[in-house]
Amino acid sequence: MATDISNKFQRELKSFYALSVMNIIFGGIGMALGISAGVQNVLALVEARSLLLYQFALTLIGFLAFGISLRWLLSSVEILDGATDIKDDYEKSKTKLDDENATSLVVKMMAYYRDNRSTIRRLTLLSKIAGICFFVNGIILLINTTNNIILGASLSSILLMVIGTILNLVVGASGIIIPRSFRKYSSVWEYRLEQSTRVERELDKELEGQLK
Amino acid sequence: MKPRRTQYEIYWEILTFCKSPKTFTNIINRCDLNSKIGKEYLEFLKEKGFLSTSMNEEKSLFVTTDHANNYVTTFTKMYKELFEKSPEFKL
Repeated sequence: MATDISNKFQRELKSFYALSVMNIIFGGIGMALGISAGVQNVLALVEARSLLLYQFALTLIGFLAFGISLRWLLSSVEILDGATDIKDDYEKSKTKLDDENATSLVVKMMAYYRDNRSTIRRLTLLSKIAGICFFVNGIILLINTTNNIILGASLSSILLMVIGTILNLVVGASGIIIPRSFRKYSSVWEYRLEQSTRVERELDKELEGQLK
Repeated sequence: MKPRRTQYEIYWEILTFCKSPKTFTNIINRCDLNSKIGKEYLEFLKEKGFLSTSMNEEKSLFVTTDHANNYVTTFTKMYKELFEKSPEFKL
């Protein structure tokens, strides 16, 4: 029984930790891609000395994606910080995971979820918006790359565009997949919180029975 | 700062911590409570007969009584069950 609960803790903590780290990685890549797309298109606008609508739209998408990715990254760091604390607590107590230590871990995880509920909701939304921005940017880049191939651009520039397109599409896809995992995490903990109200009713009875 | 806990969780933390005698400062530090709130919790638990106090070198020591056994056992059992019997989060 003790091994069962210990394995469950380990699997859940590992999954959540991996999800948090993945978020930081994609948030960071997203930020870098966003700023690079924004700056590149601003330079193109400055060079052209006129308002090119297409370039202007890409600049806006780039800077918007940068801003959202920055928030995405900061929220991810917040989430990872707490996840690391719980993981460390588990590592410390896993060799002697008795009832008291196991309950203490459940209390910590529950309190952590209550505390980070809104951050997780924000993260889900932010990564989704950033994902859409990168997806749109990726599709625009894909169209551009195809045009450049047809027009016979140099191999090196085509290669760079292909890499840029792939990166944008990968970050875009991660922005759509990651929120699904967070939703799964939230639904598991919402269920546990709901069950805890039943526990509280039992504990109330225990407390009422002890009125002096 | 400790994340958001319910009053029941804080009671449990205090009661398990005070299995051996503890001072007020020990308790509020361990359970991360401010002194006003800490005092309220300890008063409540004393009122219920879950905690008793004794004096040692002019210091008041709090210790969990046998009356708290049911509360601690019920809490431990139900919280463990709550985790074990719920669906698992996996990537």
